[in-house]
Amino acid sequence: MKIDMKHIADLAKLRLSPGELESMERDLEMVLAHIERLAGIDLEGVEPTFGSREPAGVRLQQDDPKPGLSRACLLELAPSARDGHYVVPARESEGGR
Amino acid sequence: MELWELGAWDIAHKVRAKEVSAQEVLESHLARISEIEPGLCAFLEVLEAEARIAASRVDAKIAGGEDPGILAGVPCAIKDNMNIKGTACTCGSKMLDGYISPYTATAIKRMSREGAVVTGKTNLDEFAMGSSTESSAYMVTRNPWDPDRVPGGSSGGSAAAVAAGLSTVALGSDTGGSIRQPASFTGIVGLKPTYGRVSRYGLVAFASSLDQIGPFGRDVRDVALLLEAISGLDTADSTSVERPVVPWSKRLERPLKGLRAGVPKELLGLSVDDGVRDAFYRALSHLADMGAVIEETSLPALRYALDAYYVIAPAEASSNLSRFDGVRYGLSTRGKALDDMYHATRAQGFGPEVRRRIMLGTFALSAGYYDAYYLRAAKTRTLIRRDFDEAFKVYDVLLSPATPTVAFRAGEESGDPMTKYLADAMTVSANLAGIPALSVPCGFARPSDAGLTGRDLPCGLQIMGKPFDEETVLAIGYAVEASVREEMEEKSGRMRRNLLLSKECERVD
Amino acid sequence: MTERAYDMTIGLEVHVELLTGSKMFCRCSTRFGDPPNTNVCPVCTGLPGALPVPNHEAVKLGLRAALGLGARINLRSGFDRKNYFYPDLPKGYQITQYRTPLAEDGFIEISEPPKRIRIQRIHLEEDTGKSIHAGDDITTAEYTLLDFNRCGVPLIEIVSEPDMSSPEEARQYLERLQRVLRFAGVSDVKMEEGSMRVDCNISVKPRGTAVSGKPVEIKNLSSFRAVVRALSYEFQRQARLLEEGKTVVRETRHWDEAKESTYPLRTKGSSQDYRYLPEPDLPDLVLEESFVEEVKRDMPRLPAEIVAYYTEKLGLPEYDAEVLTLDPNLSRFFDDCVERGADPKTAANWIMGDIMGYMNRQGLTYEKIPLSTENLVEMLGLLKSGVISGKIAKDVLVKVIETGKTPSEIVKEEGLTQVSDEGELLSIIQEVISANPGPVQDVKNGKEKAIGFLVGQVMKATRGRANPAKVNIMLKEKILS
Ligand SMILES: [Zn+2]
Repeated sequence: MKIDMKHIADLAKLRLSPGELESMERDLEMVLAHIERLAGIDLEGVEPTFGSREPAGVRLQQDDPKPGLSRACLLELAPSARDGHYVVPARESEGGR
Repeated sequence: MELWELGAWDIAHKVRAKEVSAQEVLESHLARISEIEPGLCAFLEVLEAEARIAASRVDAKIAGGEDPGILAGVPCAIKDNMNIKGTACTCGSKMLDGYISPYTATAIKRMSREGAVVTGKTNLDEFAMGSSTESSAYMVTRNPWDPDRVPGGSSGGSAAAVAAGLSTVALGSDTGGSIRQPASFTGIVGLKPTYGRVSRYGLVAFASSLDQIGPFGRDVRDVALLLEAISGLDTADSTSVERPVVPWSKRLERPLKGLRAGVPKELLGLSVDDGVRDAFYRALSHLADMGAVIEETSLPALRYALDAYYVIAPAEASSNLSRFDGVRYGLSTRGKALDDMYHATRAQGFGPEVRRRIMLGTFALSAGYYDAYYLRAAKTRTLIRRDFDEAFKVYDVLLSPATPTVAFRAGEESGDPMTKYLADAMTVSANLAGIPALSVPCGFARPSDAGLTGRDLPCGLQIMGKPFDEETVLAIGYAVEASVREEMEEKSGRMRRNLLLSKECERVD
Repeated sequence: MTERAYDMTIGLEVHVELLTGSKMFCRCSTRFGDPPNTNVCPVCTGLPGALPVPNHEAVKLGLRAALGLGARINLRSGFDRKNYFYPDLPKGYQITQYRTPLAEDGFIEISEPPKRIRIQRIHLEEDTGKSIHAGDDITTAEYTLLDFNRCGVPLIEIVSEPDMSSPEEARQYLERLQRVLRFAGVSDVKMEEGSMRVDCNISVKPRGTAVSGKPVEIKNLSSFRAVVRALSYEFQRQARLLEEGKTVVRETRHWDEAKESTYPLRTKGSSQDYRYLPEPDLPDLVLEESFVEEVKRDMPRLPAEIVAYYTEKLGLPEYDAEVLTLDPNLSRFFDDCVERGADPKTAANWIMGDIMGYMNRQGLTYEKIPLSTENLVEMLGLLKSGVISGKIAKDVLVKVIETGKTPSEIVKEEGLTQVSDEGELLSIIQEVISANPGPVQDVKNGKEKAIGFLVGQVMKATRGRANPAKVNIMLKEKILS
């Protein structure tokens, strides 16, 4: 099993150093070597289980607005805020113009 | 006898009967904490001021003739992955540095409404990922039975606090054994309720389809009492289930005659330490003496439980932990561009074990691997659930050791992460099937690495029951407990009274 | 450029905000235009530990849309997570329906050429927050401001099959779709306000070849006009590439309104991989048959049904019926007039003529028709009973709109009552005859047309208040006898 570690780290937004990538790859390969056993199970016709059986259908809530949290309370948690907004760095130049 | 030595049942009764005040109970515990905590490292934060307010409220209620609730004045520690308004919630991670919860988890609200006094937030493996509480970014919690050993994990702080008498009861969360395994390692009782029994609203998610909040206590009755307080439908959690809350603490004594218990050979087939195995068999023979019918049985799919678990849990975790992005709260390492911020924040905020699981989960869901990993694991989960369904047609409960070993030494690093993951072998099946499972102390065993002079350490027996049949699970736990009560009380009482942790442990702020 | 030798295939993905009071998975208000970050809570800002609970009304509106588009409802569907990092997506995933959508296999009929555009799926999801890029545009911004008021607002996504083969067909599809959703009360479907958002997939291939090109996705389209222009531009661009023997790259392009061109949106790093995951926080969405029946029962009438009613029951021409069903308010206005006793065809003429004309000149939308049906019906009554003339009626209508007074009040105040008194008319006619000997002679010589001029003179003299039919008869009598 060869994992494209760089790609997976990119998807997960985890910048790992080359050394970290290497040891991570070793770790994952050891775990996957174990998990490979799943490939040997006869799962023909078996439906997957993603969650619990109850409740059988999701409960729906009323369409009725009610106050949530105050802006001050939320923005106080924010690493950076300005004029009632959260602030983040812009995306890198992405236009090809 | 000091007040901190009492159980929840006794405290609630004494407080309600005005024999002691909630404030006296609390002060006894706070004194115990200041004496023991520096060397135990169970608490990430002691909420002294808040606890005093809560205790005085309970006393005021009683003075005013109001019902103070079933947990009146009972000190309770909370694993630090549950939100309490106005307090930090670190999840044992640098990622949540500086985050103060603006809201409170449903389970904690309910418990407080029943008069429980929250004394603090306890240490855990980072984002509840681990079996030793060593992956916390802040400190390593010690096992009060042996400070060189781990208390188990991920709810190690809660378990150590209860075992050492710093808290009467505690809440933990269990995704693959994170309540039962530390309960076993610290000689206390821990329950993972049926999935949906306790609201997850306010519990920071690790693997949403497996996570469940549950109680720790020094005896089964206390665990049952705390379960009563936190259970029940919560419409804020779509997976919460509407089932009657039973007065479990009053239904513990039940004749075992005719009760059928199965022992899945797939679990005993795992490498279980001899001492643990012996203690387990002794407990079985006690149960048999009391009239239970015990048979070996087979649930073939359990052989694959750990594999399925180590695909499903990381897959869900990789998605659940995406919200930690440095935008709205917690750690944020700003770079020039957005992507730099994401990468730097997440690489700095998450420790090695969390990163490992995020990577594993991301891989299992990525294009081209979803079917081979995530989907196969989800189908295997169906087989596991079916095996349990079949077994429960014959047996009232299924029994196994709660852990393959007693508490292992801190700092033991194996090259292969899977070795560590094997510690969850007994417990993950119950999470995959969503069934209730209790760990109750069943005796003591000599650690395999202890040498001739090593001390015996407690080990637990796991009781797995039918969905929503906590009643039977707790009743059998109560019987097991009774069979070792004398030895347990004697040894653990001595452990607590003699507990002197010389070295202060290191804390990272 | 030999564009004639190429064909295009167009598929549309339309996102529509549902008209609910609260959000898809929490109880925050969906109100538009509130100060930033004031309709937010732990759920819609993705605080650790918060959990989603779906909105009942959103499911109902999704069902209405599905029924309106003739789609098959899945009584069991589910929610999934679409994982990607973006600052306006607080949880790092969007809750959507991936494995099984709410409904499948719908359609929209367009008329030129008559064609059925198939709809592949309709699914529920949540909107993202709003990013405001500080700087000139997305490419030069240094930082981004985030507002989560919109985050979690319920959406449905309507995905068509690639059944359209011209920008004009795409426009028709969108207009029809908009109309159905508006009549069904699902959404206000305004592209300018972002309650309807359109992404286009277009691929171009040499005519007669079977292999379809890889689709290019166009985003950032803020009007139907932009959709048409962008598709036309992309067709030309792709055809030219093929003509030059180059291949068309599968990519996402942005429409630049000012430059009237598209440009590629470079995705940094790895290709997109959404790692869809069944949402473990939400059990399946299981619909009771009775719920679906209830939605069916409460379903507002849709344009097709109304057009049939207008033409078959009210005897309106097809064209009139189509115009009156451009908008639910317009058709409700018309229905109300008819209910109040107006003659359908007369009411239709006045609505489509003078009223819509006035609204066009003033730039008014159908949301607020500028007069009440009572006033229109009253005016039609005055006209029918001969109290006012048709010409006067046009003026009265404008005055009703501008002053808000009733037609009777205006007629009374301004003395606009039609003059039918023969004595009064006779003296005016006498004056007109003496002042216009030429035309009078023409009439005598049998030139019927000249009578019109004389009638006009009488009308002028009475400021339009004379009954023209009566004047006509009286003039003829006077001149020819
Ligand atoms: Zn909200």
